[in-house]
Amino acid sequence: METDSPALRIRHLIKVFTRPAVDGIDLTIAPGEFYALLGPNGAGKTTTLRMISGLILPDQGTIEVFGIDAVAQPRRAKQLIAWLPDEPLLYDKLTVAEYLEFIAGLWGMEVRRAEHNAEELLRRLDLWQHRDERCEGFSRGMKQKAALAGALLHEPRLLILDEPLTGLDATIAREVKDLLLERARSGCTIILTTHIMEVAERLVDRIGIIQRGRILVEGTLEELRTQAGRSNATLEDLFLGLVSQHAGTL
Amino acid sequence: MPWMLHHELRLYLRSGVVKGTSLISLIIVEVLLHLMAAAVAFAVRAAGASGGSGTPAALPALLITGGLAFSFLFMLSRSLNGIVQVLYTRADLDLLLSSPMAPKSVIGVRVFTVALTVTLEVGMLAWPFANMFVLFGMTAWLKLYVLLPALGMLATSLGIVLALTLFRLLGPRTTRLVGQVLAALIGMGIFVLSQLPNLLRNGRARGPASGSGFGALLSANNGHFNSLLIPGRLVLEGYGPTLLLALLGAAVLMLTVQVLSGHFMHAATAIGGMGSTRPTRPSVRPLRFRSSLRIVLIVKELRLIRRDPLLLMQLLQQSIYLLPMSLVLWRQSVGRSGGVPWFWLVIIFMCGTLATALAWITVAAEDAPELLTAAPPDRATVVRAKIEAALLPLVPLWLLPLLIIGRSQLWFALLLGLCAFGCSVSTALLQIHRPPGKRGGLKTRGRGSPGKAFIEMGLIIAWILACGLLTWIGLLLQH
Repeated sequence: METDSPALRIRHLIKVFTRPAVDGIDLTIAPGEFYALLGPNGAGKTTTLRMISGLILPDQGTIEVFGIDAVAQPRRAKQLIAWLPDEPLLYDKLTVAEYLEFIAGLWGMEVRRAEHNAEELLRRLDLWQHRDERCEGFSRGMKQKAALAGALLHEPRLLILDEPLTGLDATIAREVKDLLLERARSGCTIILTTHIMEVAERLVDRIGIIQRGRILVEGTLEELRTQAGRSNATLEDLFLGLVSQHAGTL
Repeated sequence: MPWMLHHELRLYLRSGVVKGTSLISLIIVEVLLHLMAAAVAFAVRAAGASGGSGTPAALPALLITGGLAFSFLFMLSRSLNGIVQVLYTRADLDLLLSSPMAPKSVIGVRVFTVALTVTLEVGMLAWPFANMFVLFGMTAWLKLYVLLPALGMLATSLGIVLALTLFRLLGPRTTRLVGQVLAALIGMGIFVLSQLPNLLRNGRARGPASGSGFGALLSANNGHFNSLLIPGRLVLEGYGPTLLLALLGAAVLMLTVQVLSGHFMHAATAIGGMGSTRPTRPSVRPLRFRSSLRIVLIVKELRLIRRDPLLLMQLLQQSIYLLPMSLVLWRQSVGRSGGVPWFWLVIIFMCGTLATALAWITVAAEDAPELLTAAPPDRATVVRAKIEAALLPLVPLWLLPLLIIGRSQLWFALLLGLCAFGCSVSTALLQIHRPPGKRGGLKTRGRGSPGKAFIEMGLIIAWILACGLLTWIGLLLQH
């Protein structure tokens, strides 16, 4: 693993299903950066994230995670990554503690470290009292928190989140946002997709707007405003303007 | 009301037992059933014309009584399941109950749909026979068009009573599970009933009348047995009892809906208001994790199986279905073939079917496949552990012959154990390339790939034959 490598470097990534879902994306994210990939439905956000996570293989292009070729050496790359989709990857018949034990086993964690991390995360996410309850009885928010605990358990260096705040109430959404910010501050690289512009506006360092499998613009919020020539525009205004502007050109 | 019935039937056709079955394949099956029925009707008429002296007088009554019992149990099992589903399908029921329609009408239509669908399920198998028998001059078979709906209505009424009784006794959290388990148990009853002739069969008796246990009973003119045939005799007597049964069915169903719709609404409301979290005591245990990936994977699979009562029920069903066959083989093998208890071959079949099901659950019906794909271990490691998890519960079955007949038939017990092991492993390995499925689809997993299901069954039979052949060779060498 190269120490001075970017957390994520994608070059000319292409994935075609019936039509191109991802059409030549180039993207570089620095270690410790909090990055949001925004775009309308069907823009290619989830497909891009799934390729980075090793869930689907790209048709063309390269993906490097901290200098590791994620396509050629998926096991090494996956060791550094955590993937959290919008639908929590849980087992209804397992308790939270058992689920975390399973995750620790999958990532080959040392037992003491796993137990310590699990307790810390469960306490942090207010799930400690519920650790011996099966996930089937949990609300949507509790399930998402349990899945987040699973994703953070092995201290991933690259955290990939697909719509992590969908369907969460305000309290739980705040808890999740706070935890993500904490992780970003402690050096974890985070890339997320969201339809909630306010989340991207307040949480992330850089934003990429994707449409029809291509990144239209990327940069900090200020950079996006400068590029659009609208110094006081909200992210929502910028996003809607860009998407409608490029709707006919791509 | 008709539009809602139409809506309900459309939902049933798109998500019920005929899911995935196209109209064309349904028509083909019906045509084939009619052809089969025509052959049977022709044979029955020919036997009747030639005097049919070998046929016991009570046989038609027995066939009708048996058919009615079989149909009723099947309908009861299906209707109990249907009523439980009606109670627990939230979004749909909430939508209907929030509309201006009277709740009693909503429940009435739902219940009527259950009665209609269970009737159709049996009717699609039985009515082709009625059609052909009528065509060959046996007009009494027309009664099936009245009898089956009557039974459907009675079974649905009983299904409602059972479901609401369970709700009253167990509450909203447990009723669904126990209801489905009870429906499965009733389904098992059908299979045991269908195996009754085999269980009663006297291995040494032969001949048209005495070739079966029923035959022996019929010829013995057993008083208790004859009283069991009253439904069949009543149906044979004329149209009166049949029409009476139909009227009774309709009256009972209407009365049930009228009397119990309030309770039904209460149950549905209680289920809707049920919280998503179970009140539990706070946890006090510290976290204790295991370190090995293999152990963690195996433990996880065994936990998921152990904690799914419906799944366990389906697995248990597969074994219970084999009990009547084992009994028959045991009775036939006593005192034969140099004392080799051939019925033990059933254990190979049991191991094969259980290994197939368990390996399908662990490998193909993974609840979170993306989690495993996103994790570092390669697929081969994960699948190996999953197959091990599927085979672990079968270890006692591999050892059972050794423990029970090891003293008297050591070589046969060893051979059985080895073949049971081989059958389990080979059938489990077949599941590696099965398409992904959901645990709930255990029973219907063969629909998507009938070829693979055929190969699985062929493999199990091959292991049984191999064991039988080796045993036979062993016997030859002994003598």
